[in-house]
Amino acid sequence: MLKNLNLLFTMKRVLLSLAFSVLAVISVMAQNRNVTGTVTSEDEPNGIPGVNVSVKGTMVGTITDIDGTYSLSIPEGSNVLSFSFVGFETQEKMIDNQSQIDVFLTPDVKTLGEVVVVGYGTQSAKMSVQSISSLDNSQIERMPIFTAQEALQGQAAGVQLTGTSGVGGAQQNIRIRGVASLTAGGSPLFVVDGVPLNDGSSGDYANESGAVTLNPLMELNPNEIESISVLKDASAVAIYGSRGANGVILIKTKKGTSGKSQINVDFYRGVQSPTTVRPYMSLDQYNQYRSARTGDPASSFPQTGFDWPDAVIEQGKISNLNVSASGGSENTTYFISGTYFMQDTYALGNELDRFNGRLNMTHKFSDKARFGANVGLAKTYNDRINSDNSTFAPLTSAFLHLPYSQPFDDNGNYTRLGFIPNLLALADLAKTDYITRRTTANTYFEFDILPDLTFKTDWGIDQIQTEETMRYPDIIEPTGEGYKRIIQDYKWLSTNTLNYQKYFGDSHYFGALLGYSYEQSDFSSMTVEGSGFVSDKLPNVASAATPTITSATGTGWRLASYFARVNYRFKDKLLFEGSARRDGSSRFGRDNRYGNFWALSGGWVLSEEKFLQNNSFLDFLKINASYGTAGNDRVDNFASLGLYQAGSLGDYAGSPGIYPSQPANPTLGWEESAQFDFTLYATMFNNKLDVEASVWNKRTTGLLLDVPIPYTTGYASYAQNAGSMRNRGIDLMINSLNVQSSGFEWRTILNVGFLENEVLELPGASEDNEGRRFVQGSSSQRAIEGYSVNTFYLVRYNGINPETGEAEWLNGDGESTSTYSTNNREIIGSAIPRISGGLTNTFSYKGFDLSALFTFTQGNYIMYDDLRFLYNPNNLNSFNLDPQLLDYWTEDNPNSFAPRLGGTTQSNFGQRSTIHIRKGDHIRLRNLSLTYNVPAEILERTKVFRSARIYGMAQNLLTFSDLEEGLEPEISGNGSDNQIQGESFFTPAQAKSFTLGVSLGF
Amino acid sequence: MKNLKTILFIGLLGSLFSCENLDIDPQQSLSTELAFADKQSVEGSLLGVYSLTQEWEVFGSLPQVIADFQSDNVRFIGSFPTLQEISIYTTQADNATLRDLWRAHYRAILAANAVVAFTPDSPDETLTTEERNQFVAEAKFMRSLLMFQLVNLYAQPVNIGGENALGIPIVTDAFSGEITSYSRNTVGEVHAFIINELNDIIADLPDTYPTSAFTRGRATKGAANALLSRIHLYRGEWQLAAEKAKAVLDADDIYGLASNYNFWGENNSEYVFSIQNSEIDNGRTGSGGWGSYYNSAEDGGRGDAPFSDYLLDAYAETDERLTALSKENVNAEGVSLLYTTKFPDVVTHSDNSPIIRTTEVVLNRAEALAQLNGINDESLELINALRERAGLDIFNAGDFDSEEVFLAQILEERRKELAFEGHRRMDLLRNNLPLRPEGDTYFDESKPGENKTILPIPQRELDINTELVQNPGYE
Repeated sequence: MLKNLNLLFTMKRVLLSLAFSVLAVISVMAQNRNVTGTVTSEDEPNGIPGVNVSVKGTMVGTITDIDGTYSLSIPEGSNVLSFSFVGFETQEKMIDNQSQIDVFLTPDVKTLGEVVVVGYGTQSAKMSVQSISSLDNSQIERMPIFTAQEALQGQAAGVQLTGTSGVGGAQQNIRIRGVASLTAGGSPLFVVDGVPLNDGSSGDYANESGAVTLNPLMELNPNEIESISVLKDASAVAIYGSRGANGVILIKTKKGTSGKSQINVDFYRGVQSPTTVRPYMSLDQYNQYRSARTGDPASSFPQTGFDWPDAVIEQGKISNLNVSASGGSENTTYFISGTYFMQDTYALGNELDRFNGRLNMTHKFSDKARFGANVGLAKTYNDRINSDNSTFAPLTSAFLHLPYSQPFDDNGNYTRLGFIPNLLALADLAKTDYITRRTTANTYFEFDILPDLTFKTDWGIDQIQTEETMRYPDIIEPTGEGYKRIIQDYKWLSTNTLNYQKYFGDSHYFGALLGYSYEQSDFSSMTVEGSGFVSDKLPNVASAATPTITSATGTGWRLASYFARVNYRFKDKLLFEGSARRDGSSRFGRDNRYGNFWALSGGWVLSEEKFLQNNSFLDFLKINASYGTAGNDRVDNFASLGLYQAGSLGDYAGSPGIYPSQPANPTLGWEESAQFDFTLYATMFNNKLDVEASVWNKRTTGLLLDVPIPYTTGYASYAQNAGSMRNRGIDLMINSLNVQSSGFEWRTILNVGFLENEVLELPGASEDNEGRRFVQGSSSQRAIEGYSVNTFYLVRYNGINPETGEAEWLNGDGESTSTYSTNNREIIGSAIPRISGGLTNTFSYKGFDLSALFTFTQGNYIMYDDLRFLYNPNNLNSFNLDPQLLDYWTEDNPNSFAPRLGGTTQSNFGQRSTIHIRKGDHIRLRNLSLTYNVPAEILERTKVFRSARIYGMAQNLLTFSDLEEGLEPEISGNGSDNQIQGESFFTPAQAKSFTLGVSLGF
Repeated sequence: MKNLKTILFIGLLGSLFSCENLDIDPQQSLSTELAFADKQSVEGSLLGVYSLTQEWEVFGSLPQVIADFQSDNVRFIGSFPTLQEISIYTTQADNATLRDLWRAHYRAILAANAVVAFTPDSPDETLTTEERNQFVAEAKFMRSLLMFQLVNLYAQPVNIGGENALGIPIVTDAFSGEITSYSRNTVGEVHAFIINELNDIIADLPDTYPTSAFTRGRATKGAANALLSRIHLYRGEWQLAAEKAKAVLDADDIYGLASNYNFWGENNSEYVFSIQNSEIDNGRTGSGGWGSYYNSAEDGGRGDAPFSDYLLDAYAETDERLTALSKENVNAEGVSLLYTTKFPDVVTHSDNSPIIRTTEVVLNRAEALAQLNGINDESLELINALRERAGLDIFNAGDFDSEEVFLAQILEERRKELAFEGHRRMDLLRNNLPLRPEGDTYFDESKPGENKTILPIPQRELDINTELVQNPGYE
């Protein structure tokens, strides 16, 4: 390892010093005559800015300025000018004696304009046969978001995205075309500028603060992103082999363009509050209920209360300042950006600060050789809170605290409240920091070995250091407690590709990609914990009397890959692509170390055919189909070995010990997803309407399954490649320019995904009483053969019997009974939405832009597990309760919410049943923004500003659903666990925010 | 210029051939072969068995807390829904805490089975036959102790359900990859297995170890005899119960009653077998340990299990088992509650788990002799020793009208001595007594033989293993 690190450092040093010395060598050479001119095209008759103009055979060149003009000194002996620009065919002109050369560029049919980022390269969007959803920065920048994933919500068909909670920095739960795994990770692979990111899927990132786990994009600022490509079908993901089964998200950061430096400053600021707050009993209500239960008068109970939820929910603040500059000379471009983001969330004690910096640069050594570097640095400071099933979570415990629990004693000092701690003391005195420092960078070198053959080598790193510090005062943990955990995850990779592209004659285009990559990640952690402090003023574990954890661990993985892709096009009409990857992973048993993945796809541009030409409405029509495979390697690093674990669970009475922790499974292998995709893409009515529709079917086999085995074996489960699962669906994207008249424009974009998930086989799994095999995810849901992977399986609640006042449930025969039994559980529904998507409407009028994004989901259920506490009459005097319990049955109130007091079902009323589940259907006005662009005429007069924009935004402003007050539809309390979705345990609601901002260009 | 580029190009090409080593080893674990490769690792594997029983679900207080919540010594002020339902006799078969309890026991049993299976064949020649026999004997002691705790929780006591009542699966295999669906053995079979095994291993066990932590915290002849005494007592085999108790008490250089209640928390002659816990063992588990359940919220515990009024009534006001071992706390509402001080560590939960105390062995013998001989001097002497330690008047034979009254008094002393140590539930059930006194809300549900006085086989196990049969009332 050390050797490799050193090698890498040496390599980097050599590369950088070489690069800089080369930069220094290049200098402007002798210049003679002058040529000027204007470059135009059909779409841009007034001139195209940024066109590269170079003197062939020399290093001399320039780019056109804003009105498409250029001026260039021609060295002696040169006679050819070359004009090149992305999306256009390069033209060469003889200079001879001319002093003015005007050029008319024609669009390049090879790239056909818009380019889409694909695995290890780019392709023409129209000629690509891959299924990809693409977002450009205009779709990202328009929102006050913390991480880039949030931008995907409702903006990419087939991508289901759920904010896991309203806690600052909470990860987003992303599923591309459904969940393709049970136990292995379900998140897509994130690749930033060619570097696959560490995503903490190994479980080694587990920390002490509850639900929030590492968000792979936490340290990437949305302002820095040029484009996001979501790779969906097999032809797109097969090139990522063993990590492609969950889809791949490629992020490209911004690059500079040659020309005058442009400086942008963007600032916004806003306020936040929860979208909804749980109802809870006031002290009066509680005393009233208690009196009814016990028979004692309400006056005999405590009369002074404290409103805990009110105390822990405050008005949040959010602000963001981004300054960036970009530009460059003819051979060197740069993009530099710095951002400060601050969020003080609506939850007491939760704050987030992030500093980002980025420098991206490219340099051309010559016509043949180029190099570039993308460096992103970030530090995130997170003053964390716990959430969900933790008594230290303010938004959990505030609703559980008895309404007469007091935070202060008579002298104004904090009280010690025990199991459910004093939340005010916790926020005030405890230190709960989580700091992440991250460097994601790559440097690459490209060399044109032949005019059509390019070699590229790319070194990338993703280095994460997290530092988690906790220090609880004596009032929270007697004698005080300190904790510090430092994680370092150092990943590097080397990617080397050969890329070949050539037209043979007019009809045959041939492209090929051949590559090798090696990736290595080394993880280490150090954890210390101690208790027993003389004073709360001593912040570090070193001051603790008793060290309770002193731990240092290490782990890692390696991945070696060979990959290839071949493209062939006939007359830009018939399109073929094949790709393959062979991956070797250290995570799998020696017998199954290597996996092969592949895809084939073909397309037909129907609009090129004679029978579809000469029609008035159709501009472009393409169909394509693909089939192929991808894998999933998100398993524990040593899942195949039989292990005895050492450490504090093995030691005894001061002597070291070990215990059996995992049974061996040397045959453990890859999970494989095979996907079929058929896509139709059409552009109509003079490019005013784009429609893309895909039908797909993804079947995962060899499902990595922790087959539960009887505990009597000593183990809980046995990892096996058993089982299969199917996801199928339709992705639909419609982009319509509804109205375009002078000054007014109305555009509508609809993205919608229809999804059906079904578990096909679970060999070896348990059988329920109907003989269906299943794997249990939680007490409320399981994966069941023939049903969804997240099927809620609960006793059906049937209300209060108006005659008897007893609660009733349905038994196995569908009859109402007042006997609760878990043997009467039945299939209720799935936690996975059947339909999800977003609808964006944008109106532009004379510098004003109004944009509204509605997101929607339909067909899913949500289990509000916390209602089991709030609805449970047995919790009287233990916790606060739901006010509906006051609506108990009496003869005068036969249609009540709760059973008769003192009835036989009073003690069972709180048992888990459908009374705690809701349908998750909802429509949310996710983002509403109004922007005013200051007109160019005014800006010109200032002579300072190039552009100016003022904007206001509202997030999660409105939610339409059948859910009652306090129930948030957008939750995923268990993070990205594939087997537990759609469950909330006091999961903090999403924030509703209002922001105002200004963006200036210089 | 040209050369520069060539150098650069060749240098970068070199990166193509970076070493490709995909064989890496775990850093915090050993493969199973290495776990029995030498003496240190064999002994480590054995200590791992003890260590696994430190878990909350095994001897880290959960089974004891459950027994207390079901019976009449504590008042439940709980927050755990899964414990709440046990305390109010509405337990469901999918109770996750009980599922974990089952799992943690069998995990420790597996670790013991592996020591039994692999120790004899360890290739390390420095490991003597005596050492191998002792390690195997210790592992056998632990699995007997674990199975006994399970059968008491999951099966009707033998005096109620008889020898043929369904017990728990007896598992002695070290998992080899083949999944066996074990069925439930009868209570009689489980008892017979444990009794045979314990009798077999006594000869291989030492009397003491070099350190007091190991003498009290690892299997010894005394611990095996004491456990046998308890099993025979539960089975009503009075003669054997008395004999095995005597075997323990005769080793008076090792075991004896402490003179006062300061013995708590130290390794001394009062303990026959206690699981040794340290600050790093039960650590900051969210569910807590002994200290967490039995201490007030004000002191940093969960405050779940204060003295019940029934228990308070049982003590005389001056009884030092009350005065020296309790602490008053006034809760948020101004209500005064009493908590035990037997487990004071609320910070790191490092209090040892008192599995078998000399006091229990004394009471076993007193009770067994009274069952055999009625009101007798030795039983009187034994319980008077305890009463004297508690600062109470001693009894005379004439104080008891009948053998029944005498036995009831011994049981009452047992309750007061061993309160909060998890004995009460079985002491009531084996004597055909209800877990809650008359007048309690749950009196009817708590009668011996009632379905929910014993725990359900976890639904999760029934779902996978069709050989298992659920207890009545949980189907």
